[in-house]
Amino acid sequence: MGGLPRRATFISEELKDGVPALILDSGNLFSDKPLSRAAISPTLKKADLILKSMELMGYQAVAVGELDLYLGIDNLVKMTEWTPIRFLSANTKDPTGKPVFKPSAIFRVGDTRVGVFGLTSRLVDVRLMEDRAPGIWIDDPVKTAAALVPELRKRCDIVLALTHLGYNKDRELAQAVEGIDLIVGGRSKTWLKNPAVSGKTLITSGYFQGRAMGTLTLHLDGPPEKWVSGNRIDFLEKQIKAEREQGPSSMQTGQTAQFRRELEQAENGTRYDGDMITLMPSLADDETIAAMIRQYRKTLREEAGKTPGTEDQSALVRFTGFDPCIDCHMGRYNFWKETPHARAIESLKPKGADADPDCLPCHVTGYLRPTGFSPSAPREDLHGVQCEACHGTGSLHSGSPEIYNLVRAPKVTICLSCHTPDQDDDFDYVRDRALVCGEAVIGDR
Amino acid sequence: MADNKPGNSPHWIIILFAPFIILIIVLASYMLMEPGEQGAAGPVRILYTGDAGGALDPCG
Repeated sequence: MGGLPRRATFISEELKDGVPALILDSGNLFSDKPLSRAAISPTLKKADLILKSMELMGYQAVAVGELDLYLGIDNLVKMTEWTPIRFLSANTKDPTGKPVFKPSAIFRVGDTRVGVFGLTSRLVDVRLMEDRAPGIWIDDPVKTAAALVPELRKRCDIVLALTHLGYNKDRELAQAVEGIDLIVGGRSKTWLKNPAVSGKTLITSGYFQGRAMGTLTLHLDGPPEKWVSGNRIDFLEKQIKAEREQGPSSMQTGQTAQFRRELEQAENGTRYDGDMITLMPSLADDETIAAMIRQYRKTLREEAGKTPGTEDQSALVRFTGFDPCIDCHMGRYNFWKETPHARAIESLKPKGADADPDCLPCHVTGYLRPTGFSPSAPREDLHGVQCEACHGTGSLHSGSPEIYNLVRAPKVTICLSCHTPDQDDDFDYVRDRALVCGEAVIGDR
Repeated sequence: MADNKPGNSPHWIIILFAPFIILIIVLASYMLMEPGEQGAAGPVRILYTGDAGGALDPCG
């Protein structure tokens, strides 16, 4: 599920009805985990692709997440110099207390002026911050918002907080600071099919790994004083209409009167219609962005040959490949070679992802580990998810099986490191283990 | 002496256009400071993502 090409298609479909739109992202754009120093350079290349894709999709602003900061503050600032997408964070500050990024921006969306300000979480890895963003500190988001919102309020029709704080902190923000109409949040990866309402503030949240996209339509007629859910209005109207057509029953009459009162009150509010749409495989890829990704992956494949290998002949614990396993475990080998695990790398080829460092770790054995699979010296016996991917390195066991045992039944956590919900939302350990081990051979050698 | 004649002085130009300049400044200030009462009208759509974590496209 997900993916930039599908997201682009979804956005262009959403824009077809001509409703003026603002496209935002709540941060942690480039990585889903803290980056090692070695990973910064390749991630920057990917970040370039991601930002250019988002620019084509029409994104206007993004919040700065803590994982973005670990890419290096100088690298992020350089990005802001070439991309038209605004990086917003009012509380990421330099040693003098000056914001490093733009605190806010005002966008004209149709006839509406939307003031957007960014907030970043204070829950950062201090050690990584010292390394990647020395001297940079994150100010209190609530105090920052309280100082910023009144001025923005004067100049805009809608004030929107684009945050990377997490859902609970977003709720605290809504309660603590008056004048925020809408919070588009992130960090907690909270699935909100419909926005939550806290006082006069609507709260939404981005979902993780680009699997879904949120859409929220505000039916404005002046500054919003009270938000009313479109789903609720539709429900009330449907109930009242049904009563009108079918005639009142004694039980329904009291309830319908209540519905009518609620609907009358709703007319004084501002209607919103929100939804979170999963980007399913049935959604076609946007060809321009798909081609950009293919080109990026082609470059990765070309560069892979120039990367130093990880072969270390002196290593005591080594990946042996599957050859030594066959001597004693022929039955299992014969079964395995017909499974999707054996062909895992083949499944990457249609999308040209067979050199993509984001994909390879789950499609080869021992990716970039000493003596494991390396794109620069790709051993064919480490292609696919073979014996050692689940049971551990085989050198000691194959030399002295009576002394060194391997993990006989790999724990579910090993499987789940690759069979994540976004890659395999139908994973079932017991059922799927039989698919890769074979019912008949479970219990055999 | 010619410089002191009213018709030749740049001050007269300023005096002549001053009301227009003031009007433009007042209108611009009004537009910048008080848009909220009039502007918010019609539907506005917000499309959003978050925590994409570098995901490009499903691997295979």
